[in-house]
Amino acid sequence: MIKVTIISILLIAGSLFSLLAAIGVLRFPDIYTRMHAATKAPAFGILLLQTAAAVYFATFYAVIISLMVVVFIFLTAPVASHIISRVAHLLGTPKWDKTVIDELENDPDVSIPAKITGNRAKQ
Amino acid sequence: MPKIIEITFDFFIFLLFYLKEMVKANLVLARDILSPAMKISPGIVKVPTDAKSDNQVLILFNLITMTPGSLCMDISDDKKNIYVHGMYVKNRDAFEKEIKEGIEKKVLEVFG
Amino acid sequence: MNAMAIQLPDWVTLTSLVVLALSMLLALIGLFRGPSLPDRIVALDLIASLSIGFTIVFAVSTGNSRYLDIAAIVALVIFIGTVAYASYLKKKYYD
Repeated sequence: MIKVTIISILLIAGSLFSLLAAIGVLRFPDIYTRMHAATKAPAFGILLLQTAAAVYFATFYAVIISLMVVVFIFLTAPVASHIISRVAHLLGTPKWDKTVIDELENDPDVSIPAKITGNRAKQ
Repeated sequence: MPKIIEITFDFFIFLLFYLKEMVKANLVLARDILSPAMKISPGIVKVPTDAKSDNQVLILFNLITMTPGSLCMDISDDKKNIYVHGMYVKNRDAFEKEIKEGIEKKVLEVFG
Repeated sequence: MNAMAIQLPDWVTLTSLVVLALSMLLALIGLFRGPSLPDRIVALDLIASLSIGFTIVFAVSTGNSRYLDIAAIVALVIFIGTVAYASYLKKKYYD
């Protein structure tokens, strides 16, 4: 009975966190704040759902595969968000009006590769 | 042999810390998303870092992204500065201090 | 793997499937609405994460743990997809 309660709470909380991520992607004003919602919330939702699955099946196989999925998601979500936000900044995606400060813009410490022009672009 | 036990113990403490930060981050995010008025002030801050090896930088990136209200964007060419996108950058120096003293210190003392 | 000791009430898995479907719908709206290309990539990433969630809830609701394999494979593949989109955008910057 306790197990059923735990699994139910985990399942519903996990799907609610996924819903939170979707609402955040719709509500937040610009790409960088959207990234906050789309990185943290789904990873946490999947953690909760996989914990529910591991508790429900309670076999060695299910636990190992749940652990694998969770570790992989938590290792790759920051990398994906880093690469998307970097490319978005490189392309000059507009920021929100109320952005306080941007120290990455025109910073000499980060080398931006020169644009390829002329014949090299066609190769 | 005690060295290995110590490292494992430290690692588990770090894992618990990670989990705690994760839950806190999601609750803060939920409050932000569901509050009717957007009370955020985003900004990108350049934070100097003391992390030397690549592994430390990786763990630092991961932890910064998963902590409340901050997201790692880039690292400078000489690996001395990281660029963090924060949700509440009311005061630039306070934000930088929060990153340096809260997270980076923890990472450096566990994976030092 | 079908011998189930725990009997889960139907409404639990049904509720979480409905909530996940709702969030999938919202993510699709975000995919169509997103003003710039990176916004659409974020929405696609979110949709992939939601499909992992779908698979897990489906595995729990049918009681067959073999469906968890699908979740593992999707988790392995979406990262490559996101990185590929991002590198495509980077190539676009050079043109």
